[in-house]
Amino acid sequence: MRNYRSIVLPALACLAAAAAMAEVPPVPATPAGVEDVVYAAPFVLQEGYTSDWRLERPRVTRGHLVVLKVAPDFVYPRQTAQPVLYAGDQTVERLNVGYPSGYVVGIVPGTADLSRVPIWFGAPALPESVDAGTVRSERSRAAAAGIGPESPDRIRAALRGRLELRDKLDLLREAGALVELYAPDETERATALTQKGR
Amino acid sequence: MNRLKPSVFLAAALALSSSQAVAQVDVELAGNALPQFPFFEFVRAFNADAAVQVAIDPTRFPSVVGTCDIYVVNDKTAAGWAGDPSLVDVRPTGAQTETFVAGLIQDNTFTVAAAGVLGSSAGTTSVGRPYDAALDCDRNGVLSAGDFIDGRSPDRPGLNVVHDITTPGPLATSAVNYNVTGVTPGFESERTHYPTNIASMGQLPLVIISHGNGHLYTWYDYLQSHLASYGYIVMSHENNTGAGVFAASTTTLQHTDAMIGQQGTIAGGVLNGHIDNTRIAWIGHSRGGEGVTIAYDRITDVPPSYVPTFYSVASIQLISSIAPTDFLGPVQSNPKGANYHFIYGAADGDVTGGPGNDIADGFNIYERSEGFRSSHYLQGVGHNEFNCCGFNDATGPALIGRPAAQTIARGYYLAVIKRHIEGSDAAKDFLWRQYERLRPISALATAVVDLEYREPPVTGKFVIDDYQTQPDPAVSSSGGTVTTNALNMVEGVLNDNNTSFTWLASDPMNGMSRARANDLTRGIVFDTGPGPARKMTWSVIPGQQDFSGKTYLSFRACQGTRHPLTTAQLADTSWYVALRDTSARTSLIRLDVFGGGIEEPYQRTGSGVGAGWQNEFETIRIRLTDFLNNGSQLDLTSIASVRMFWRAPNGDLIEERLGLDDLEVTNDP
Repeated sequence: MRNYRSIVLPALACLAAAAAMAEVPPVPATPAGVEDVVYAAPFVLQEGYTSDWRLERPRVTRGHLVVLKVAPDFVYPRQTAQPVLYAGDQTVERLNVGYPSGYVVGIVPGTADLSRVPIWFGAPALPESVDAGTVRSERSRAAAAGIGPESPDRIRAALRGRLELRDKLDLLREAGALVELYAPDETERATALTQKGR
Repeated sequence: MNRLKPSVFLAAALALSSSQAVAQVDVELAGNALPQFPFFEFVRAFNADAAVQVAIDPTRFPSVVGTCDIYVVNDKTAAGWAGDPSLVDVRPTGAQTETFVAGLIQDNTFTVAAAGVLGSSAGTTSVGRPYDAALDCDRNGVLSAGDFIDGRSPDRPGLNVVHDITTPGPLATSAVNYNVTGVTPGFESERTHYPTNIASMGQLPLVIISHGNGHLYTWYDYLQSHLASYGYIVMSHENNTGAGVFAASTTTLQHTDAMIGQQGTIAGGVLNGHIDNTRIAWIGHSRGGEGVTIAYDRITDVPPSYVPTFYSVASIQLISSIAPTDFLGPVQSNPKGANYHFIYGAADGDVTGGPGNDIADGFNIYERSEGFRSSHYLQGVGHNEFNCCGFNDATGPALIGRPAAQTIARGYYLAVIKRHIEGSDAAKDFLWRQYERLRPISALATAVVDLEYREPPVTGKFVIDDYQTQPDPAVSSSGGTVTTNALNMVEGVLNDNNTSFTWLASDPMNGMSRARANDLTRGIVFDTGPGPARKMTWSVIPGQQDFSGKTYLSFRACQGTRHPLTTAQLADTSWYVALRDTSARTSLIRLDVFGGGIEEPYQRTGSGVGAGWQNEFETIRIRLTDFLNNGSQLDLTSIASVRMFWRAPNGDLIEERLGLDDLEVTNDP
């Protein structure tokens, strides 16, 4: 994992900036790739769960727990439609806000090889309204914009050992530790996640 | 003396009181003097820091002329008055002897209590301490023939003295965090505030708060503790807003079930047996504010897409949205006939209320509500002033800040919940009276708050014109004729039809951020300038001309944002409203006499050229009997028309761009 101090200091600077900010940043143009994949741990759940982050509401039993570096304005906590975060043919279930830190902890369902799929922000929408057709369309737009997979080296550097977990609550506790580490301005959210099921 | 058998005594007492009751007059007495006609407003709620007055119009009640003793007594029910007609004044100085003269109502207006003389609801969980007022004109110390009484029929208090409802109630509170089961994985957490001594209490209503996107369930302590201190169990839960508003509605529905169903184990069972699952209020913020309306839609759909286990549709006695989004539109984001409340900040930088983005137009949902509905719209308040910790997005001038916004929210929320959950009489005034005239005591005096209020058709109101039918502007929705010399009048859906608030004649509904293209809410817009004086007259159809059994003439109006007639005079505007009977007798009232007027739009910039945000409707309710004061001779049993005309008292023209809707004659349920 990354050096803790190198992450905390920039995050605190961002937090101070945000405190002084009064206006909602405009929604950035999409499609746009993420800046980096800094952590990716494949996981398998003994007990799957139904994802609300797709219209089809798929069952999730495996995937990757990821930490993505993003431009913060993409994840400003808006009530209106936000850019949807995609990874290949999946929407990414975001588990923290990521603003102002710029670090998003999320779940990429399925078995995709992250070194072979793009990870990007698509058009603003509610993830629960995104279906396979939307994903195809957004992926085409991303490809047309030149957004491709992260370099295999970056993904290799980010990859961690497989997590074999009982259920989603176990997964959320893992995510909580990541939020605490990468998005220290979200302490309360991190604590809530790390206490899931306890 | 032989003692009467109790049954014989009771029968005699009832017979006596019954015969007396026939001759007493039930009348409005308590209120406030006004500087112009009708010179007095009869109201129900008085803040503890205000004086209480009584008045009677001798032209309507000539028998009052002479000397009467004014009483302010503890409230009695109608049955209480029948059983005990004695008058016992609660004031330190006792009953007040006054001479009532032939003349005008202003000649017969008396201050009966300076501020602070009457005990308020302070120290209780109520909004308002109830009293009745009486004029004892035979001066026998008993409510008897020839006397006047305010607070017997209708059977509710004549007046209520309200403490500062922004301050905590009398109950110490506790808070607990815990997890429940049976909800969407990852969203199990709840935080509940409740009265600490709940073990000694019975069942309490349940208030549930569903937060917005990127918010946390722990961010509403200010509201939870406030309501809990007045006798509510107030739970805030994790809300699945990231996925979307439908997912959020699911967590609201699930947590309501979980809270009730698992009360035996929550916090060691401290709430067990104390949750009243027949009295529930849902409050949602932003995406959660839309989610609570979707939740209600889902349990009322046929067939329902969610069937509650531990509560029913009837349990949901109030839905309230704080700055809601509108993703799903009229079919799904719809409070239908539920009691609905809405609170929103005009400086919201997120759910902006701006043109060109229906999702950000929170008022869309308010407009769909068909039940009792009320709205508090706060200028200078952003999206996250309604929680503790969201990013500051307030955009615009004269920002009032989070502490002031939450003070206002605390007061109004207590009133709204007391009204709809407990039927509080005093609380109702806080749902519609102008902020300038009545507001929670510690609410910022310089703040601008617009109130809307509307009662549903089941209350028996007569809708003169709500523009929902009869698209011909010359015909009201009730079928009467509408005549006007106002200019540029357009009737249509209240939907700004472009992406800018810049005034363009091609977008007559400019500033109406209240509907999607497939919404149905309609109204009119028009100009009252330039001169000559403009007027608008609605004829009242035969069969509906008897207004004597109704209580208020009600309508809502707004100024048109960024229109040259609005920007020429950035201030509240006002005009005259007149009733004319079939004998051509007319009585007129200027609407700002009740405080404020119709507010100019918040002077926020963006979304085009100029300043001025969305149009701000305000509801005006004029008591029908006010038109009778001082010998107007108006016959309320035979009203031929309602007229508005735009002149100032000095004869100057009132030249404005206006919107108008929901002209009704209402009861007062």
